[in-house]
Amino acid sequence: MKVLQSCRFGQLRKLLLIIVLAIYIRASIGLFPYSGEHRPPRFGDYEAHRYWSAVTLHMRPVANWYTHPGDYWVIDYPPLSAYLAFAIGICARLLDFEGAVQADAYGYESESSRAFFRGTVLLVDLLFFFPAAYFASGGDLNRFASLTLFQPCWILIDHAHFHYTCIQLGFILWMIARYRTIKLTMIATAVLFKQTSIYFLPVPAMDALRQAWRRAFPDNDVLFSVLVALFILYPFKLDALLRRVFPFHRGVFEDKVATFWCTISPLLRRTGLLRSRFLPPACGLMTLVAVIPFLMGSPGRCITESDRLRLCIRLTGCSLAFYLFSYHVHEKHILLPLLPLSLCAHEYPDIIIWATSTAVFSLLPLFLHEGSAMALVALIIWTCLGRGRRPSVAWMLLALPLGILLAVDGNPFRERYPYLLPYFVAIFCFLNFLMLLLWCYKEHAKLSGCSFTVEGARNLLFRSLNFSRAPPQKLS
Amino acid sequence: MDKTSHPQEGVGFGLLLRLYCVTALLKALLVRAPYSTDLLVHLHWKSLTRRFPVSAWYTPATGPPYLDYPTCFAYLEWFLGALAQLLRIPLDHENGSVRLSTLIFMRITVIALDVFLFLGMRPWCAGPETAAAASFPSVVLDRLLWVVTHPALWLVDNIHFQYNGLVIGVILYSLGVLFRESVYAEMEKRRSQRGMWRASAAFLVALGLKHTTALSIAPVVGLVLWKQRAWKNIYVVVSGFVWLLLMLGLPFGCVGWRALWERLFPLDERGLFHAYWAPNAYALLAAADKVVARFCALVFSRLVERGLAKSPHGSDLLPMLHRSGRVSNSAGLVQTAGGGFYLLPEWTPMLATLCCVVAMTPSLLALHWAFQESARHGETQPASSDATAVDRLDQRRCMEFLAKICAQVSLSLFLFGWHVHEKALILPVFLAGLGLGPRHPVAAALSTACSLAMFPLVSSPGVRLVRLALLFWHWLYFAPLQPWPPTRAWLLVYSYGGIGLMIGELLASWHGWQRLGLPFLPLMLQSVYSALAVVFAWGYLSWQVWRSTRADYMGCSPNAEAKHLLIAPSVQAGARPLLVRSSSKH
Repeated sequence: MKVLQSCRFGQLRKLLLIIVLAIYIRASIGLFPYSGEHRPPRFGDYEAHRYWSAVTLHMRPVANWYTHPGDYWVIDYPPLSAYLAFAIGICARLLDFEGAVQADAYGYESESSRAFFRGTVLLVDLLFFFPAAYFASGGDLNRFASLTLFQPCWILIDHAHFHYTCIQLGFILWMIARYRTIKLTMIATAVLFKQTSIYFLPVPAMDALRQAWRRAFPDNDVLFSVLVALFILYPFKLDALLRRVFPFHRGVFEDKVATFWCTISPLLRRTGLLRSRFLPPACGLMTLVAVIPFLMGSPGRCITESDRLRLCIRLTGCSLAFYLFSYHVHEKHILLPLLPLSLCAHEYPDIIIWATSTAVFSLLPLFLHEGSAMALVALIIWTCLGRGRRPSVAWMLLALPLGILLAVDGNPFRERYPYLLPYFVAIFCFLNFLMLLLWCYKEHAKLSGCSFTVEGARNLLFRSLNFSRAPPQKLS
Repeated sequence: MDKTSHPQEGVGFGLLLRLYCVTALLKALLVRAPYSTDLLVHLHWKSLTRRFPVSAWYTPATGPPYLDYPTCFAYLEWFLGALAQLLRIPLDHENGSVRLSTLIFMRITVIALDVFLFLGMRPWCAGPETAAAASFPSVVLDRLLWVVTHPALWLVDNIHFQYNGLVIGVILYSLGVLFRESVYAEMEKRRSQRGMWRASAAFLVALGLKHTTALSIAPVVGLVLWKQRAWKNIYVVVSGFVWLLLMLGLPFGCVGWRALWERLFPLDERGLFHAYWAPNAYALLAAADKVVARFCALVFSRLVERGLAKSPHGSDLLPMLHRSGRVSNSAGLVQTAGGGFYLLPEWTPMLATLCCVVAMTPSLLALHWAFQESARHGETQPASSDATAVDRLDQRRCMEFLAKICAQVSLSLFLFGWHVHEKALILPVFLAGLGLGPRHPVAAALSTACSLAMFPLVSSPGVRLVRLALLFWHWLYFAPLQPWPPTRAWLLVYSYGGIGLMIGELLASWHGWQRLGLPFLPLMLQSVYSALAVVFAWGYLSWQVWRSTRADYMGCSPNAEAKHLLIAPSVQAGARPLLVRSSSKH
């Protein structure tokens, strides 16, 4: 990124060079296998998305999308995702990939249809994520490169593992870019695209509530978000939709995730609490407790740099708390906290490298399983080179042996205890993320002008509970 | 060159290393790209060099695909095979599909050997403008990036699979050292001799790695070494001798030289064209031949239909035109010895060689005159002339003049050579960029043509976007620095490139050509398109080289390029310059 500053090229050419390089990286990452490639009977996320395209294309009326029986990759994302699948189905039909979206084509795989679906991801990435990233970074090309080039997590999840996360991330970025005016609309759209966006929801909701309290009437943003939600949700039966979208029966986590619950899972299993009814409320409660500090402190006018910085920290902390403590978390959800954090490329370069490399490391078991670990390793080194930083020596001393043990085929330890190494990785990453969360608390307090004293805490509490109609006092 | 002789280094070693790492990482993302049969061929060579003794490497006992690279490359394959065995990586394949570990190993060997491309660029990157290097992009860095990020090389090496980066790196090193030795004035005699030794040794290694690529610059290297009286340099002679021994495999048991020769130059087996037409002069000839023959046949069949003409063979003229009855050169599938054109006379290797020699005459004459001129200059100037008076800018121009000559010679061989592969265009493109400057419109047009010529090699649906992104990045980076350049040449280059791209992408993605009976039309259009650019670039380079020399030869203007060439020996006090002696012969 240092090169960008001393470069004599014009702004437009720099931007285009970054975009083309980003396209190259995404297209070549797409050559690696997608999740569940050649793995019958259920394949993976690629098959899920392909099958959704087929289902949405052929099933009428639209309300049936969430009610049709069977358990082969039922649609369990909110309606906007289903609409996207429908649009992709139509494109496939237009572009002569009819075979890929036949209703009964289970596990359809071909080279050209694979290129087609990879191409759709790249296209929506270019249409949704890149403009949002440009505006959210305020025209600063370093921040733009930090979001698009030097952040392996969502490149890998979208273009290797196969997902359409970039749309969700794009909405979140729009929310950050235009926080004062359209935050609720954007977060509502993001939630209606993918339910994991509720990781961010408390922060804009709280701020909107505070605004509404001050003005005593709902503003355009509220109205508009309600309209959008009604419009999107209108054709569907809400109870069926909710049952699909929030699958409480699927357990507190999947595989080995670097969350609190996975870390203490041996304890839970021993005491028989893992399947208990009290676990979801406990998750909710812990998440709420962890999130509350980020809801304190007024958002300011979100124009100055420090306000934006604080907003990013609040969003990071809030989503990280959700990741660590909430119910039914996947390992790929870690890319959500990284999104607002990556916008602070200038302010916290070391923290970003630390968080990114830990997140990538937590994804290592998944990508080893899928056979694209090489892309992951190449991209994380690329990120370190590009950002001009490397993770601390202590971190590497712990992570590298674990990673090598995990990756090398035929080492006796892995054969003897196949589940222990991923578990160790999860614990290691959990501890790192926990420290990141604590750092977020600290940084949030610092930026809000509070210190860790009793008086400071009281100040913070009063200020955040002070729902007065007067404009908020300007914070330093 | 080391820092003692040139304290002002253009691109430092650290930057070189960082650039290598960055490109290596980006190339590592291509490991899972669909590979061609060349990967299997190289895999087979690795295993055969491990399994058979040196004496049996070039015998038919090894089984196809036979080893047809020179011996030094075979040694390299042997070494890599040993490395693979050490790492317990299997060196076999089942019906063309290799194991993942084998694939990754093979890809990583290519990426690792690309180090030599970066090292080979070092003599070219040590330039005078260190102060300007701080502002990015500097002229020196541009030259480096021109070579190491060129899409054609990435497509051929890292997707299609070959080891061109290594070979081209060694060749560029040899040329760079040779030219710097000839150009830079501060050289002392001993240093110059060592440089000459290094250059000739590197050239011999390149010749041993891939003879076809190295031979395309052999005339220039040969002429320069001849002018510098290389045979009097003991190091050069010894290295040549050792190289000969190595090529014949003598230390490890003799390779049959006759078998080796037949493998290296299989003129009887190979036709004028490779399977994909390389964009050279013959592509144009074949296309014109095809079009005219088709047109004649069409007219003739209409005449027969209307009863205006009679033919014992029915209404089809084409078989009659093609007297030999073999598959035509322009039919597209001409891997084996193909017979002639429809209308043009049969081409022979002898004729092709003659064309090559005629085509590269301007460059060789220019080089010869430049040497003579500099020798005369050395004689007229007193021996104590101040070396620092020689302008560094002139030295750079001199390097560029030599690179232009080299590019012209290799382009001539590409245009008229026998059975040329499209990959052979990469080296001339690099040299043209180094000679004309990477932001020169002609270099850009040539590079676009070269990249597009590689597109048929990597055409599976997954890598289409990859190759486009690589091409666009290179285009964008080497677009002119001013937003709207004063000459309109750039506009032409880019619209030309865009049209070529559309031909390549749109025509090739439509599968109806088979049904129309014209399955090779997209390939033909693409190669004709590229060939036009190549011929234009060749003509431009010839004209440039010729003009600069003529201007000097007739005494119209002092020619800086020739004046400072080989001035080095003249600055040694006392000793008679090397070149003056050689020029006294002429």
